[in-house]
Amino acid sequence: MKRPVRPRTTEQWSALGFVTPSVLGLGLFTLFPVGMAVVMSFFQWPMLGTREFVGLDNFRYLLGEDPDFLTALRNTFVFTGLYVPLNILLALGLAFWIHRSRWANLWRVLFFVPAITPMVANAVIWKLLLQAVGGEPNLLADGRTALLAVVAMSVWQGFGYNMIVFSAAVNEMSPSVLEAASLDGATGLRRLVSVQLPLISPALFFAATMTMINALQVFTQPYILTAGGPGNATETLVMNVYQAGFESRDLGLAAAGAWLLFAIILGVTAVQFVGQKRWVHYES
Amino acid sequence: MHMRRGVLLALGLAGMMVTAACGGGGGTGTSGGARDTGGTVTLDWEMWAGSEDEKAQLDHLAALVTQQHPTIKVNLRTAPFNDYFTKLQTEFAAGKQPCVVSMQSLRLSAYADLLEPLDGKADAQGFAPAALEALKLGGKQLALPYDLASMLLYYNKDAFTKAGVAEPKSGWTVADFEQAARKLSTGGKAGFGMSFADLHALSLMLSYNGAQPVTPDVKLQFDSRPMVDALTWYAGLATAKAALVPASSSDVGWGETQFVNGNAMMAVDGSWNIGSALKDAKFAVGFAPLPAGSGGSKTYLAASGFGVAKGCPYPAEAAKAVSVLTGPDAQTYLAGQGRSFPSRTGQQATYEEFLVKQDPRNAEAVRGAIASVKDGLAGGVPLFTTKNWDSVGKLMAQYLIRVYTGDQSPKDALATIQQQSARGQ
Repeated sequence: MKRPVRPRTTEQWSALGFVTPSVLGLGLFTLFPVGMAVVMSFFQWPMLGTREFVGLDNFRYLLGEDPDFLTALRNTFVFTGLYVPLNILLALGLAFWIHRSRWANLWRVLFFVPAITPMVANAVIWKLLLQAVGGEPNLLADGRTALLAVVAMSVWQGFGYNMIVFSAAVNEMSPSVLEAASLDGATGLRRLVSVQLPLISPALFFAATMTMINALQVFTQPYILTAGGPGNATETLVMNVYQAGFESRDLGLAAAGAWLLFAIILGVTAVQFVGQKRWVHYES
Repeated sequence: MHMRRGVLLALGLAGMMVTAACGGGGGTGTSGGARDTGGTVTLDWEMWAGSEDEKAQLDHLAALVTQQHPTIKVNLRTAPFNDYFTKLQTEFAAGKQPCVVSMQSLRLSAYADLLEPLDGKADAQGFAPAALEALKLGGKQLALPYDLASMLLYYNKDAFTKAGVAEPKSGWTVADFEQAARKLSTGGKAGFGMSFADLHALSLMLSYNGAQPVTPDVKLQFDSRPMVDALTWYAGLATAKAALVPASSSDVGWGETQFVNGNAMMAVDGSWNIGSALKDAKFAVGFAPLPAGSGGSKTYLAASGFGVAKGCPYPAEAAKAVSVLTGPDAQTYLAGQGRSFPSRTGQQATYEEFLVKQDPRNAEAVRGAIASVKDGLAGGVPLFTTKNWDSVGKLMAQYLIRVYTGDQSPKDALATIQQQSARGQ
């Protein structure tokens, strides 16, 4: 029997045609820069001047000598540890509340507004607000409260997105399951923890993962609100990378910092993916 | 299936190599100028500009070059001031730098190796010596100045009159200044608006006791004794509740903004803001030299100007263009537009007249301001900066504010700044 070679080849060529643009794009704008960053992290690579291979020196400097990197790491974790739970709790609470409200759509739009306005504008407005509130010293100038103020502004800015995700998930909860639960006598907290949360757990997982990744990359809010100060109380990892690249003009050091950040995000996300098997329920 | 994966991989790799080839050409480029078949040379000129008006002024300067040298054309590229130096360094890194580079004296050391010395190549006659000095490094003239700036004490005349405090004038001392700041701090308003910006904060410390954070051979000495004393005094204004502390480390323009908003009755600001302060403030503004400390009134000077990038394929033409851009005609034009205090002594009167004409009621204030600028030039010192001055500025913002809020001692904060900026100075 003759094998139908011709159609398959044609199919292959058209598949190739369709896939080439995105592969080229991915290669040029993602894979190449990522690969380049690995190479750069092993060089002393000044923005202006000659480069020199230095092996792991950049990493050694960041983890051993850089007075700011470990503080930035700690600040980033503190920020993430506060921002992610607050964001999820607020978004979740409001999503359940909105679900029962008569003005559901109005609330959704209102709470989503901060998420779609430019972050820089939001940060500037918050800075003016905090200035107007006053206090001696200002919340942003006090090392004990500066990071908390940054978290507060970030939660306000960020929860709207998760709220929309949760809101959709809450609306999609299967009425038959909820009805069965209420027939079995599940009410209040019991119903929330054992029935509703498991029902929306895929949305919770998605939101938790994405929010965590965003939180670990926090930059704009502290950059505008506090410029990393006072001292290095609000300096974050991405600010450290920015500082190395565009203020110290040391691109090798910036690339090394970015790679460490990448490794951390990869690790945290991997843990989340492993952990999800225990608490995320997909309806099949 | 196997073949397809191979093809995709090969395509991806090919893509990367194409990019690598394009990107690899940077660093030693000879960009920034071109000669057409008729022999006309077009030079790229990069300059900061914040508005269409400013762009129009610069276009006028570019046209002056062609008017005086018909075979040279200048192609203006602009960026907002805040992005200008980031853009410029990226262009240098990629080998896409312009031939004519706009440069500020505070950033000069970071670009010293990338600029062609202009000694003997461009006309350096007629400039205020201080302006030329500010754009010189290691004895080489790396750019020619178009303006010159000194720091002044801006004060709220109305508030002084109301409180019955004698107005600042030449010869005013640090003690007079402190006393006035205390008296004017009433009713939620402060006598003085503090700053952690280099020219603003460091000039007042310089005038206080001559403290300098950079040695004459351009090494940092933030932790030196005079610096500790000067910062202790400066921060003392906050402790005595006579000054407004910046609300955060990102409030770079704090003192001058609070002054114009009417929340601080005095502030240190540069001569470049004389015109805008007179226009924006809702009260009468006065100007005086910085209060005199142990060695008399002193201020740092800064200048901006134009230089020629190394690697420019037409350096002779570029030097000619710089001569025109900073020449008497260009400066007369800029002074008439009220751009800033001219670097050429011959044009400085034009600038004064512009400010007076803006609003004749301010004539007295303007004359006082220009007299104070000239006073400042007499006691002026160029602020030479290290290669990593951007990082130093960031550290000053982060750590001086801790001193102002009383969270850290001046000695510790200065030691931190010194230690953290030792790398790459």
